[in-house]
Parts: sequence; structure tokens; C-alpha cells
Amino acid sequence: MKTGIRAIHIAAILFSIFGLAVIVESRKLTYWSEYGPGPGFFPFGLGILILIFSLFILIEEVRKKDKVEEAAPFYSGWNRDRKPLLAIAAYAFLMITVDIAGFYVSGSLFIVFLIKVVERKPWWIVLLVTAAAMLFFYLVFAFFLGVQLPKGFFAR
Amino acid sequence: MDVFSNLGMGFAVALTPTNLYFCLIGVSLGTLIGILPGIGTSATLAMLMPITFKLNPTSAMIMMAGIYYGAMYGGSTTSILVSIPGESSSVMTCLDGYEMAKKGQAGPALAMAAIASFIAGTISIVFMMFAATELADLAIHFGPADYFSLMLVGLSAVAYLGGGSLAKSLLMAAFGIFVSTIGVDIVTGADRFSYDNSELLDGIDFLILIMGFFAVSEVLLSLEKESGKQIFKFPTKLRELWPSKADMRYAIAPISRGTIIGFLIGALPGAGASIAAFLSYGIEKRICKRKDLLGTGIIEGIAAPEGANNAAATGALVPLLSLGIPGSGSAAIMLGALVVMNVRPGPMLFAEQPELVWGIIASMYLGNVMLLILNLPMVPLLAQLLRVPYYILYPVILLFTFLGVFSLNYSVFDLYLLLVFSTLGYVLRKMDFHLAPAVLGIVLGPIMEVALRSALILSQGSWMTFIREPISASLLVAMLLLLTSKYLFRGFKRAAESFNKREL
Repeated sequence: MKTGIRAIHIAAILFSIFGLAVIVESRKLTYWSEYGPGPGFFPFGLGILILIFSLFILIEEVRKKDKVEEAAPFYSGWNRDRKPLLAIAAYAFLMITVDIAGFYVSGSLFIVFLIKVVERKPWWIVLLVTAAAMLFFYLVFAFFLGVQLPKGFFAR
Repeated sequence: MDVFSNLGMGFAVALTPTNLYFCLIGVSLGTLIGILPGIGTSATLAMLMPITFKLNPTSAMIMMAGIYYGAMYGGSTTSILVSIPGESSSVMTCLDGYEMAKKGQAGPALAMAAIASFIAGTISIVFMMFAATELADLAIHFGPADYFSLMLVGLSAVAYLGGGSLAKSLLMAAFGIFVSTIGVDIVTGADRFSYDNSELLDGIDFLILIMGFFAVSEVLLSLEKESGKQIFKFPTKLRELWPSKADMRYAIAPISRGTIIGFLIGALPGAGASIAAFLSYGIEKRICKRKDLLGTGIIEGIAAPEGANNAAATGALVPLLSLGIPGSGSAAIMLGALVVMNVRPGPMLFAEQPELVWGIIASMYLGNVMLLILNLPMVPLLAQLLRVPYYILYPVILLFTFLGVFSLNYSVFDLYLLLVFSTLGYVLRKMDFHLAPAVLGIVLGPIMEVALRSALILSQGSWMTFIREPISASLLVAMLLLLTSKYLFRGFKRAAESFNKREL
């Protein structure tokens, strides 16, 4: 590694900040009432544990810096890590639009995006899978389980 | 307690047409999803759980038990046919299973996996029945301090035995427990960490964390691998399905050994099916008749680990049903399903809801029978599923999880939480964090907090109560030994080495 700082170091630091935040925030709750431990008692302890464990990880990881193998880097470039990142983005898009466009529209766009844009498959596969999937979801969730799927702004 | 009359009642519950139907659906769905590459048992359980919500608790649990078994078997199928273990517990099956498949003996290998699972599953259910009732009788005398210590032991055991960095696993456990504290405090009604968000006031549904951590992040991670091309050579010829008589004779002893090892290991909190399978294979490597051939594709190499991992899956239900403490990630999801149904497993469950407990136990016998009947003829057909390319599967799986979470509370906010946990789970997995402790933490968190606080209220704030209660004290000692064993042993080893050097 060129810089010596790895993703796990940053994660450990973020987790220790998170632990600190939990400690600070749980101090605002009652720690001990006249009956016994209050609502702030348990989270306070957890905050301390989170802080301790993440510092422990940090020390552990810093100490083994020479032995780190380069076999599995955290980010291995757009070409290799493109798919999961685009899938997360598509997932986010789905969450945002589903309330407006409804499940069938957003869900179809989701599948079309992943299979056409990310996987670059021919249109006939894209359309076939989308149609079959939507039918499947309709049958399982709306028909069999009686779930009210998000209808969207226009259907309301 | 009369185990057999209870079991009779259980069968009366499980044999109703409705419950038989749900058992069958569970087993088939579990196998179907479990066979899909890249989705392990936990992910299968997490994904399919929402479809059980509409059922009554007994039927739902019967279906979940069916899914559990089905998914385990599905994992073995992929190990044998394409050397891709559906999950870590079937890694050992790949060794001889895939070799057999390459030799054109995929049929007998698959059948043996089903037969070994069936025998081991059935025998270990008998073990479980007695062990769980005994343990439940014992646990009735547990006070809150004992319970808290027990849960600490369970969590540390999962963190320790899961492998990898202990600090990382413990951090995950603490994180999971913390997430469970968000929302209204059950004891005082105080609002915790919700920051006036009405959705957070009810707390975070642990199913969202389970689905994000287990189902979605697993899919995202497998997208990194070059999954565009199918890497495997697919042995289509399933000429002879049945193992020969000689095969059966060779397999009996390994199955029996695997069953006993698997059950004992599975019943320990934290040591799951993977360790059981690994150990039993290791033992066969030492003592079985054809040990030199092990690894070249012989039937014992399938019988032992498959028997062991199935027995372990059953063994894991002992602490789950009798103590309310899941021994593994999959068992934690089962516990989650129970909690959703407003059923709190624990020693009182056997007394309060016998028809539920014994119905589940009886349905496990049935589930095993169904697996055998269903899988033997269906395997060649099911194996075709492996030909479905991943680029078709993963968008559908992601949408399925999405709808699963939405159907919990019809809340869009939950969907954002799913996105957060999925991304977090993916990033953490990339850094070799084990996520099972986090799931266990969020499930056990509320019970732990209540136990801890009641213990301290009872003792008027004195921490000594955890040491003064004999059960609690011995559990805590066990935990300390477990967590420090790595350092202790290293110390011993070093001491022994220096001693030896001096002697020489």
C-alpha cells in the first residue's frame, strides 16, 4: 500500500467517533434513577464498548501494516467494482421513486437499468425478465400475500 | 414430562393438511432458493421470512423450519454439482462431492447428501427433544443475572467461533445491541436516539438489518466476482441416482459419527454447522476405512459432513427453543421470526405453548421426510436452476428483499433503512467483518437490557450479583476463558517452548 492508510483504519476511526457520540448522547438520558438503572445506562455502556473495540481494531490493524497482503484491496477500480456500486445507486433510485411512480414502474426501471445498462444484455432478455418478474411479484405479494404494493402518485 | 405424548400432540398439529402444505411449500422454496448460487441459508431465510407473516405462529414456524432444511440441502446440491458451496457449512461437501460429480457420479452423491441429511436430521431431532426439555426444566430456575451472563456467553461464543478478528466481531455485536436500543425505552418509556423521528420511535425492525446485512450485502459482494461467465463444467449425466449397496455400507459409520459430532457442536452456542462439518470430515480423515481415498470422490466424504451439518442445524435449535438464545446467524433469524409472531422462546415456552413447540419438532421429522421424497426425484430438475444466469437473478432478488421489507410496516422509511444497512453490510463485509454477531446483537439486545436492569434492580445496584449467583458466575468464567484462550494458549505455548529449549 502506498499511503499506509487503509479502509479499515478509517472504518475503525469512524466507529470510535460513533462510540463517542453514543456515550455523549446517552449521557443526556437518565443514567441511574431511584429504582435502578435508567434508560441511559445500557446505551452508555455500549458506547464505551464500541469505543474500546474500535480502538482495539485500529491498534491491531496498524500493527500488522507490514504483513498486509495486496490480494484483496478495498476498492479495485471502477471496472471491477462498478456493478455493486451501480446496484446500490439503482437501489437508492428505487427507494426514492417508488413513492411517486409506484412499484411496477420503479421496479421495472430498476430491472431494465441493471440488465440493460449495467449488464449490457440484449433488449429481448431485458423485456422478458422484466415482464416475468413483475408478474411474479404481483402473484406472490399482491395476490398471494395480499400486500398493498406502493401504488404511486398517479394511481392514488 | 412425557416426551412421547407431547410428540404425539405435535404430530397431530403438524399433520393437519394446512400445516403439511406449509411444510411442503417451505421445503420446496428453501431448496429452490438455496440452490441459487450466491444465496446462503441465512440469506434464504431472511428473504423468505416475510411470506410467513400472514400465517399463524405454528404454521409460520413450520414453514420456516422447512425453509431452513430446504436451504441447507440446496447448498449441498451446488457444492456437489458445481463446487460452489451455498454456504460455509457445505464447503467440506465440495471436496468429495465435486470429485464424484466429475466422475459422473453426481446422482449417487446428491442422493447420499439427502440420505445422510435425512438420517442425521431424524436422529438428532430425537436428541434435541430430550435435551431441549431437560435444558428448559433447568433454565426455569434462571434469574435475570443468570440470563444476562448466558447471553453474554452466547454472543462471545458466536464472535469467537465465527473466526476472523475477535475485536471486529465483538464490535459488531455491540453495534447490533446498540441499534436495538433505538426507540422508546421499554422500562421507563423514555425516548432514546429517535430525535423526534416518529418512525424511529418504534425502534428499528431487526428484520431490516437482517435483510440488509445478510441478503442484500451478500448479493452485492458476489457481484464483484467475475460472474459473467459460468465457471463450472456442468455434469449433466445423472445416470444412476441411487448409491450402490456398497456405498451405503461405507456410509453408515460416517453418518453416525457425523450425527453425534454435529449435534453436540451445534448445541453449543456459536459453534455452527460449518465447524461441525469441518470436524467430522477431519475425523473421517483419521479413522475411516478408506481414509486414503478421501478427497478423491468417495461417498464417505459426503456422508460425514452432510450428516454433521444437518445434525448441527437441529442441535442449534436446542438453545434456541429452551433458552431463547440462538447459536448461529440462521438460528437468530428463526428467533426473529418467532419474536415477530409475539412468541418469546425460553424455558416457559414448553409449558405455555406446547402445541407450538411440539408442532415445530414434529414438523421437522416431516420436513426431513419431505426433503427426501421431494429431492431425490427432483434434483436433476432443480439442478437446471444453476443454469439461470446471475444477471437475471440478482435484480429479482434485490426487488424481492425490497418488497419483503416494505411489507413489514408499509413504511418507506424502512426502505431507506434497508438501503443504509445494505450498503453498510457490503462495506463491512469487504473489510472482513463477520455480520452474524450484529444480527444476534440486535435480536438479543432488548432481552439483555431487561435482564441486566432487572438483575441490578434486584441487587439494589450491586454488580456483585453476577458473581454471587453460582450459575451466572460459572458462565462468566467460561466466557472469560473463551475470550482469553487465544492469548492464554499462546502464552502456554511460548512458556512450553522456552521450557523445552532450556531442557535441551
